[in-house]
Amino acid sequence: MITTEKKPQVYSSIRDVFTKSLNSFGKDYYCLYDTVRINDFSVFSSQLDKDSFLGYYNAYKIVRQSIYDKKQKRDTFVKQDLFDNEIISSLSDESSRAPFSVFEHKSLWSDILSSEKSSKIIQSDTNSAQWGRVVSGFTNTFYSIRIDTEGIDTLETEFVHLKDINRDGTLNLIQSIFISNLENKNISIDSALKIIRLIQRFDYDELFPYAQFIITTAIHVKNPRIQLEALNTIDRWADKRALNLLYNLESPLNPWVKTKYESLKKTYKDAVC
Amino acid sequence: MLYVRNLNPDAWMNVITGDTHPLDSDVISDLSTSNHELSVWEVDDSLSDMDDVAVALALTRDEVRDLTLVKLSPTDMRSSKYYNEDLDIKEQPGATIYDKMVDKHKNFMLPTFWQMGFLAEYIGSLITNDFESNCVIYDSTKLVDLINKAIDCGELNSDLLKKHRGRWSKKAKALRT
Repeated sequence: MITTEKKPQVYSSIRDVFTKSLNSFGKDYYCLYDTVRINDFSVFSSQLDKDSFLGYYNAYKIVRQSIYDKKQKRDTFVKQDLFDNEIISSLSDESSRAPFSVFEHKSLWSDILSSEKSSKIIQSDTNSAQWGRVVSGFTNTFYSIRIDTEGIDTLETEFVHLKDINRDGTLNLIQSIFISNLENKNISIDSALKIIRLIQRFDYDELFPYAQFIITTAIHVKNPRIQLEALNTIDRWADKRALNLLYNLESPLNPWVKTKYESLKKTYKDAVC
Repeated sequence: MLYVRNLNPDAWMNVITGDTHPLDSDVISDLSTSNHELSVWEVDDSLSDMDDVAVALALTRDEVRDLTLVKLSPTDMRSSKYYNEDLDIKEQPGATIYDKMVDKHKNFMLPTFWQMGFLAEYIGSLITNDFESNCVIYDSTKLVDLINKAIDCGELNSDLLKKHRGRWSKKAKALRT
């Protein structure tokens, strides 16, 4: 826990770290994550130890996500009292992740949120050149990886980075990739399977409702390999809501897919519900 | 006696749709051998231990995926037009943490690509003619449920599961809650 005497130095260090990261890494959004991951803490002042930084950084992410979840604009958020009851209650469940009260460092958060440079971390304008660059990077990875566990591991890592910056933009992106593939006369089975196998890495709610739309579409695609993998996603979800989804689908025609469909209905009845 | 082997849909689905022949290279790759040995698991004719075999097979790897098991009868194979020669079967303990079923693992001896091809054609006929009767699908959720039951009966050690098959352990814990 940061003491009152140390607060001025820490405050200055946190702001300097965020600003320096932006300057040195060319304002790519997820370079701030790289700063934490590579554990290069030489940029920090001696008063700020690694655990303290991570504590602040985790809380910063929580606040930023709250802004994004509530879809508030940056300047509107800054003008509001940061500590209205709604925000405090939404953060209260995160107390195990935020080692200190946001209340204690109101000026720190006001400063970070209001500074022009750091606002670029929060604003993830899907029309911006920066967003275009990271999307392009993800798309290149998507088409170059192999469709094995290692390939999907790589894809998942990049997907999570993108999703942390802009959830809706990222989920729209994979939906677009999926549909664009279907618009081709000769669809790429591998591309469809990559999307579906990526979705399988997440729980039912995490990519809702985009994942559900992709999966129900996939089950109706002609290719039985895609249909089967889509049913595997429902299998992996093991969520009661997915059972109703299953019941609202037509029984497939391909014998392998049909056997999987019937098996899944029985499994859900016995094990999930 | 019956034996089962897991089929990879990436390799075999096109055989059912008729888009490829059982001697397709991806199909043959799914029957790849080591020391001329192809891994299979023995099941009672009554299929009474099928669930246990499925768990044993699932726990040979950490990836949480479903299984599609094709039922193979050497007697039936011998009388078929595909694999009409004697099949040697070798003992080899299975690489599974489900100790109870370790000895149920066996190896089919396939000395040349001819035997590999004959077997591919035989399996192709099984899944094309009557998939539902000749195959059993174990959903990953079903497998996790069976794993939990094995833990509850004391037949599977949960610490061992967590140590060596962490992903299955995580799913098993999630299904319990």
